[in-house]
Amino acid sequence: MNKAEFIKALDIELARFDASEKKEILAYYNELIDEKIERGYSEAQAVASIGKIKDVSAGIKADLVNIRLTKRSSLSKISNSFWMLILVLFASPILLPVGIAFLAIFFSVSVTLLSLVLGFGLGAVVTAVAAIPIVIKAYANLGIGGAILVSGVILVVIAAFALLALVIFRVTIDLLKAIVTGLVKIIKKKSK
Amino acid sequence: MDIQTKKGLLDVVVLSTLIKGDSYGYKIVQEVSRVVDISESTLYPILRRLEAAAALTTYSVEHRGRLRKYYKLTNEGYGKVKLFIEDWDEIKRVYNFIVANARGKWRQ
Repeated sequence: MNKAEFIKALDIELARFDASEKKEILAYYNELIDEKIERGYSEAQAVASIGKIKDVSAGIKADLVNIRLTKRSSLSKISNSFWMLILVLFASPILLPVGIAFLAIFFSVSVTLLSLVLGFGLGAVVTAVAAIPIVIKAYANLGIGGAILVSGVILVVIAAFALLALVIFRVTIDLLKAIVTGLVKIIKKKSK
Repeated sequence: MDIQTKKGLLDVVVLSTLIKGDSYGYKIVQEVSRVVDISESTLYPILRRLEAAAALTTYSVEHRGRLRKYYKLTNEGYGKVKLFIEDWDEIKRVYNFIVANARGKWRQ
């Protein structure tokens, strides 16, 4: 296996990883192989010395679980810290108003942004449904060329809606995460 | 060496190699290998963990048309090494305690 093949295979093996973490890992192995080649290894020897890709990724996965790095943890992490926060805030009379304010902010942000997501998502679906008669009409009036042109425009509109929904969804998750972790940090600092 | 013991030691070993100066992945593996058996794939998570714990920071330097990532010890990182050294008396006491208990078994 040469270096490019190794990196490609490792890239695929790490598909579940957070993109920035994956980049770090690939850069690390890329650099290691280059260092070895610089010291007289052949490319194949350098790659072979790293070991099996399965072992490499297994080691990383086993060790990194503690450092908020895998893609999937994002949502469950929010819900974990969310319930911890609720418990802490509502257990203390001093923090109770903070808890109520936090809940209000948390829900207004999630409701506002998620309704936007739903709106754009619905927009995509409605456009798709509404498109059918329009495309049929275009075919009747303008022939196949017109129908293709009109479908193209409609697909762009649907894609735009879907993309907007997706982007806002990600932003919502990140924002909620920031609110929760920010508050956790403040409380930790205060309690020290 | 037992895996758990090794894991605890490796963090300090890695940090200690950075006291005399910043270093990069390949070189750190070479250095550490002189005392403990370690593979490149074992080192990666250690470096990431230590970075997340602010025991070290990283920066990249251009080297022969590519980037080489350097690791730099922070004050926190140095503190961890110092703490380990200061812990030695206690570790020694625990070790002697374990050995004394084991001797009881050997005498039987």
